[in-house]
Amino acid sequence: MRDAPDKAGSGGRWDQLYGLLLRLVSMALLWVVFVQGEVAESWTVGLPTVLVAVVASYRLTPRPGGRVSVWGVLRFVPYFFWKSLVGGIDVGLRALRPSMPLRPGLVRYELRMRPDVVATIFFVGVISLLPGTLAASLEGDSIEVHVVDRTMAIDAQLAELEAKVARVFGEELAPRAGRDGPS
Amino acid sequence: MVLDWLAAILMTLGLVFFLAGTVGLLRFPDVYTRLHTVTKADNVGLGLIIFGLAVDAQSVWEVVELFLVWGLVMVASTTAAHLISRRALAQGITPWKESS
Repeated sequence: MRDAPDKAGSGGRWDQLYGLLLRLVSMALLWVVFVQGEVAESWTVGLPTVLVAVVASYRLTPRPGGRVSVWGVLRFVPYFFWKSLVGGIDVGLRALRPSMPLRPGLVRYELRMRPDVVATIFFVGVISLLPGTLAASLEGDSIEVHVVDRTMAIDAQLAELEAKVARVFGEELAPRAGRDGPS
Repeated sequence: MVLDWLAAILMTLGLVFFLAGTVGLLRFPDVYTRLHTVTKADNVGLGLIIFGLAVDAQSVWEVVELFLVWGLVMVASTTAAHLISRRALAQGITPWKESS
C-alpha cells in the first residue's frame, strides 16, 4: 500500500518523478473537466495553464509527507460525507430552534501529526466542516478549535478524524502524552 | 419523470439548509458561531443542490464538473472560515459565552 519513502519525503529520484507526474496528470485532468473533454480545440491555452498550475502547486505546498493511500481515501470519503451532513443538520437545527442552544468555547487540540505537512493543512480544513467544530488557529503543534457546544465529545471526534487523515496521507501519529498508542 | 421529482426534492432540501444557515448568520451572537453556520449548513445545502442538478444532468462531463465546483467551494469556504477566525482571535475578539 504505502512503500513509505524516507521520513522527510524529499529524497529519492523516483519519488520526485512520481510527484511531478502526479501533479501534471491531476492538473491536466482538471483542465479536461473544465473544457468538458474538448481538448483538441483548447490545448493552446490548456497546456500553458496546466504548466503554470504545476509550478504554482510546487511553490504553494508545504513539505511533502508520505504518499496518498487510495484505500485511505476510499475509507475517508463516506465518513466525510456523513459527518458533514450531520454537521450541517446540527448547526442548522441550533439556528432554527427558538431556544437557540449554544454552549460555545475554545478547545485546544494537541496534534499527533507533524504540523508542517500537507496532511495537517487538510486536517485543519476538514475540522471546520465537521459537526460543531471550527479550526480557529494552528500554532506550533496544537490547534485552537472553536466549538459550538462544549458538552460534545470534541476530543474523541478530532482524534478519530486525525487518525483517518493520517491514514489517507500515510502520516505517522506520534504517541500522545498521557495516553498510549493509536486507538 | 421520476428523476425530475428526485432532482426537485434534493434541491428543495438544499434550499432548506441554505435558509437555516442564513437564519444562523442573523441570529448567532458572534463571529465564531456565525462562521459555523456559514461553513457547515451552506456546504450541505450546496451539496444537495449539486446532487439535484447531477440527477438532471445531460452528460457525464456536467456531473464531474458539478462535483468539482462543490469540491472547490468546500476548499474555499473552509479556508475562508479558518482565516477569518484566526484573524478574529489574533485581534483578541473573545468568543461569546452564554450566561446561565
